[in-house]
Amino acid sequence: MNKALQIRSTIHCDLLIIGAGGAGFRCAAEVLEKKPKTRVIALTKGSHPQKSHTSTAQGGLAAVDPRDPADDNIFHMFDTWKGSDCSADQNVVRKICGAAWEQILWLENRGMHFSRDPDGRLSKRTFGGHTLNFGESSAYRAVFEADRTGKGIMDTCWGETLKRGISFINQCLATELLFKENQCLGCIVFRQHEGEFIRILSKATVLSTGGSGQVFKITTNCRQNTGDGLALILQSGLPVMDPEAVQFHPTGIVGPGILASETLRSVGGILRNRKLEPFMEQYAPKMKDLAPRDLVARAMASEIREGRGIVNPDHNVEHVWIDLRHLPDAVHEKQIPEVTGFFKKYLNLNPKEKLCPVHPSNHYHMGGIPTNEFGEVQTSSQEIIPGLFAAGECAAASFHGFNRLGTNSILELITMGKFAGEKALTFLEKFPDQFPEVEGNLSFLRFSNYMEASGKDNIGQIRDALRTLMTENMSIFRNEGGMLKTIESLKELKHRADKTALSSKSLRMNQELVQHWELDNLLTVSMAITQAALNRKESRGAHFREDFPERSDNFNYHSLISMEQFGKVELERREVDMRLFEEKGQHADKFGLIERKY
Amino acid sequence: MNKQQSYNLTLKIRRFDPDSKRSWIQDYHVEAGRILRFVDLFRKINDEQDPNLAWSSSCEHGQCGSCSVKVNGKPLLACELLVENAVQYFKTITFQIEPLNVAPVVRDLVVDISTAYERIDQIKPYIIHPAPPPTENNEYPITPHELERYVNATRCINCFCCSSACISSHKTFLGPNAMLATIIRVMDPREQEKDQRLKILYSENGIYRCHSSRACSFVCPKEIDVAHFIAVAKEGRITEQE
Amino acid sequence: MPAVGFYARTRGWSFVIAWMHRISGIILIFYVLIHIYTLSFLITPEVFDAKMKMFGFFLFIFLEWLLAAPVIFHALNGGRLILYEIFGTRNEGTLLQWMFSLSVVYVLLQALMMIMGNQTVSPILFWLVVFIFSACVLILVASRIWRIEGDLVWKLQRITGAFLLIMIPAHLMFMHLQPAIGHQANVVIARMQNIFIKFVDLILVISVLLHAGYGLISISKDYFKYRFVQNGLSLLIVLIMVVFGWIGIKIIIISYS
Ligand SMILES: Cc1cc2nc3c(=O)[nH]c(=O)nc-3n(C[C@H](O)[C@H](O)[C@H](O)COP(=O)(O)OP(=O)(O)OC[C@H]3O[C@@H](n4cnc5c(N)ncnc54)[C@H](O)[C@@H]3O)c2cc1C
Ligand code: HEM
Ligand code: HEM
Ligand code: SF4
Ligand code: F3S
Ligand code: FES
Repeated sequence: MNKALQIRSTIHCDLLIIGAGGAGFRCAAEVLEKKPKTRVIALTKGSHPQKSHTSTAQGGLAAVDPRDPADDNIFHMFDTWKGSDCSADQNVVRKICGAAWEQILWLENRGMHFSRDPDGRLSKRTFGGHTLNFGESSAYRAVFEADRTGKGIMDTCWGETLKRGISFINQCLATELLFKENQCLGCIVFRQHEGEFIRILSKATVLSTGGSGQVFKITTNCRQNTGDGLALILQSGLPVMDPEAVQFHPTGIVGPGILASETLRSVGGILRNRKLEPFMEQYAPKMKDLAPRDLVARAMASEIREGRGIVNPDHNVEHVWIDLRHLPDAVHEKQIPEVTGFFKKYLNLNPKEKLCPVHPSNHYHMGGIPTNEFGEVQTSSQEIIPGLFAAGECAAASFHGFNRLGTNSILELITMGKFAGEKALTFLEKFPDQFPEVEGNLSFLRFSNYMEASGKDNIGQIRDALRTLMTENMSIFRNEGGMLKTIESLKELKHRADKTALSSKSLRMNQELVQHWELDNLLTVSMAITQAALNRKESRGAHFREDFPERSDNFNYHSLISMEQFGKVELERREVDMRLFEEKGQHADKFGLIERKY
Repeated sequence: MNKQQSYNLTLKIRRFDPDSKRSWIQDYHVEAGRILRFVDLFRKINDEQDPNLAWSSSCEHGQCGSCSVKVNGKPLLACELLVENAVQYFKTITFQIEPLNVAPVVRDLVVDISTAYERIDQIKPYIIHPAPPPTENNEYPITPHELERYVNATRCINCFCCSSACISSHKTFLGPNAMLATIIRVMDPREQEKDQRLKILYSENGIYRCHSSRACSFVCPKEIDVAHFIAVAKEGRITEQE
Repeated sequence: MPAVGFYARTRGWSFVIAWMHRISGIILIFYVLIHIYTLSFLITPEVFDAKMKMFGFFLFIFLEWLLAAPVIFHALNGGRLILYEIFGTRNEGTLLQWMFSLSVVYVLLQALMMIMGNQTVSPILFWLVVFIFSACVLILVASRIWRIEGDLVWKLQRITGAFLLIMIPAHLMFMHLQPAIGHQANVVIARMQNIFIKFVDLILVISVLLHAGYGLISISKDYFKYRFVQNGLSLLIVLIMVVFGWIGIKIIIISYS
């Protein structure tokens, strides 16, 4: 084994946060606030926690204001359940919706700069899928900080934890979870600047590494989102849940993949194909361009697949147009200035005069590390792993089931983050003073393979091939043939990756080395997504099978998939929690297996 | 008239190797479509020419401030700069690309931003002593008018472009962005601990290192008029409650 | 010049102007220190006159004229900075236009005076008017700045700056009304017998040195990180200013009464 690969030092702490995004931060803040002297270490892959993906969330977060006479928690719960296509866990839904407003106040009281109404109270706006009286009319439920709500959460939580003495290790990779007798005791960390490994032994560990959007070629996700958390869990022999549940947003801006808000269509934007036909008329004669997200995304993908897309020469991707030229200037300037700004900034075109290229863009991973409603990570047999918690996009409790409502994700971060923190606190109380010794070996194994490989290839090109493959076969439409082919291709790509030599063997800030490691994670996550999707012979929420276009009650469960070795998968299931229905309380009928129609 | 679709660019990138401590300028020739961003160019170099070139990015749409570099001397976000615009702005197809000079370089274009952040940490980027809301279990009421005074300053993403451009060298000044972070909390009615903040603000390493050169406002990718906020502090209007 | 274009493109015009302000400030410091040194020869008028002879050379006349540029630029831009920072006048564009136009007018006027070289004016009246105006500007700025929290010396620099805004350009203009006014020992000495003129000179020398001293200290604090280096340099600068202040005051008070 490579001599440079060794543990340089061991650090001890009480709480280890792997991934200081919104969820990780909220958890750390909870622990530090309740028990001030706790030693908390937070890891980030980016150059600073503030650069985490949560900082890009724009829209807002849903929470029912108890002072609002029209709105009620039960409506929010219903919208979430319906949005999830009947596959969210109802215990979790009830818990998160119930805690929402309190968490908003927590943020506000600590300095988040929410937008205000003229009375100085928090302003609210409406979002797709959020309704009053079980679907009757739109609910004004999302509080927000202009178009930078996620950044507000990050800045506030960063400040709170900094104030209370958190330690950060930036630009590092958590490469391996450490276990002793099924208990999690920390992780091995690769510090990119120094090019060295350290071992962090912790009493409690929280995985909050965020999404996995980089699996797809066109994504709204940031460059750090390579699904590391999921890969770490799979590498440890633990399962991930519902990996096939991946959300796509219809209007991603071609090239960067940036989110172009739904508002574009609600103010009258029209989608057109290569022949400039307003194609939505054929797919949804009544709602046309205003049909729900998944339907529109599917229509766009069909047009492209049937050869009516346009190839963008700069980014070499196929897309359709959104036509905003006919909208009055006032609409451009008052109602959609930011999105118009994105087209100007990134495509140098003026939406008042030109057609704008859009393409469905990968947006969110509903699936993730299975946890209970307290954020405790579970095994395939649904036993709790002592000392290991997960929260945020990398986790699945599951609040979103197979389809997430806008504004529910950052709500999940701050609520599940807090719950995980509370649970970690009680766990820390019981922890003995002595740390058991644990060694890790998987990291060195993987890294020395990278160092020793000698084939001529390029990590970036393999990654591109992977991302193209996934976008072509695993996004909006899935079918058995495509998936079987994908699995074969993934194996080939893995083989190629394994053989690829590094052009420099330096360990310090060796981006290629890091990308090789990330590529392995991307491959692992892709394989899990594909295998789980292959197994789910139905369509549910964001998971759409052309060969099985209907939802089927036979699949009313969460898939649990383990894969210790690449490609060798084991599938289990976890029942969907339906206690709101089963408890037969008021409105219980709304929480059965209802039809998802808008 | 048809726009030029692609360009043959020369990128002269300042490189640094931490193992040998060697620094040099390397030329890369890249054929690039007109609306590629500079981060795309770096990725292209990684994929096609030199997997070793190190650079930073995260969100890649101007929201996180990870990708700041100097292009022909101007500090900017590499993920917001399109080839076509760069050619137009700098009137050349040759670009010098250097890391920001606000912290030690780790490798090539990557700097140790954590070190730069220590300056922000010093000013305590949080509410030191929050005022309880007038009615319990409620928000602290802030009118849009009150918020308007400082809300623009809250848009800062700590990309450090302003710091890099400022006439005050990077030796002592906490930096324009650190000033913004302080000013926000002086203006925020929820902060009760104003004295500590004013002490930092009106200190040798605070606003007195600013000479109103306004480079901060000029380069800020978020188009925040940073100099305005610092001037408001100099003017003393910052402590006025409206 | 290419550097100016470079910085204008990468940091903006205000940045270029900030550098010009800094450079002009430093030029003025050098000038003032040498100036005070030469003025100290007024004790022996023959030596002073002999030294002043060289200002008869064309090159030196030209240089004296050129001095008007940094003086008026620094003064007007200093005034603009005070407006920007303390009076909330943030519409830079118009101010800059005014500043540059006035500068050009002033420099040309200076040339005109030097060419004609035959203006006469009562020194007392001239300085009375200038002093009153300057005092007004001083009071205006001081009353505004006094309420602000913050560093006393920093405030004093702005206040002295405000005071000098008219004083210095006027001083320069005055000295060019006729070559003799500024260059002939007997004329100068005769004028300086007046107690009011002495008073004006005294205030002038003190405020210039205070302003310049703080300016230098402020620049050094931008560049030297360590406290002891900063403190050492500040001490040195204060010392230089005190020494020159002393020389300057000696010229006014002790020599001729
Ligand atoms: C453009 C966009 C807009 C959105 N808008 C909204 C919205 O309006 N409302 C809403 O509810 N949701 C929104 N979302 C979704 C939401 O932003 C994300 O789901 C959420 O931010 C994820 O937060 P997180 O805390 O789980 O992870 P992140 O914020 O992604 O943080 C993950 C952290 O883990 C670190 N990390 C990752 N891997 C490792 C490793 N191996 N070692 C160490 N550290 C690691 C990363 O560096 C990072 O610090 C949006 C998403 C996008 C892309
Ligand atoms: C004529 C009227 C003057 C005005 C209105 C004026 C105004 C100012 C102002 C407002 C500043 C602060 C700028 C900053 O913060 O950087 C300043 C700085 C300075 N001034 Fe003046 N000033 C005047 C005359 C002078 C004179 C006569 C000298 C020298 C003898 C001088 C030397 C300096 C120096 C060295 C600085 C520091 C420059 C810097 O920090 O970059 N000034 N002046
Ligand atoms: C070339 C042009 C100048 C000439 C000929 C000139 C001449 C003189 C003379 C003759 C005096 C003696 C006092 C008096 O007559 O009232 C004087 C004093 C003074 N001048 Fe100038 N001056 C010139 C430019 C300047 C400039 C540009 C400055 C400032 C930047 C300046 C600063 C002073 C000061 C501070 C004093 C007072 C010194 C003292 O009395 O100790 N002068 N000058
Ligand atoms: S003020 Fe602007 S330039 Fe400076 S760090 Fe913030 S966003 Fe960047
Ligand atoms: S660039 Fe620097 S000098 Fe002041 S106005 Fe901005 S902080
Ligand atoms: S990568 Fe986030 S701002 Fe450029």
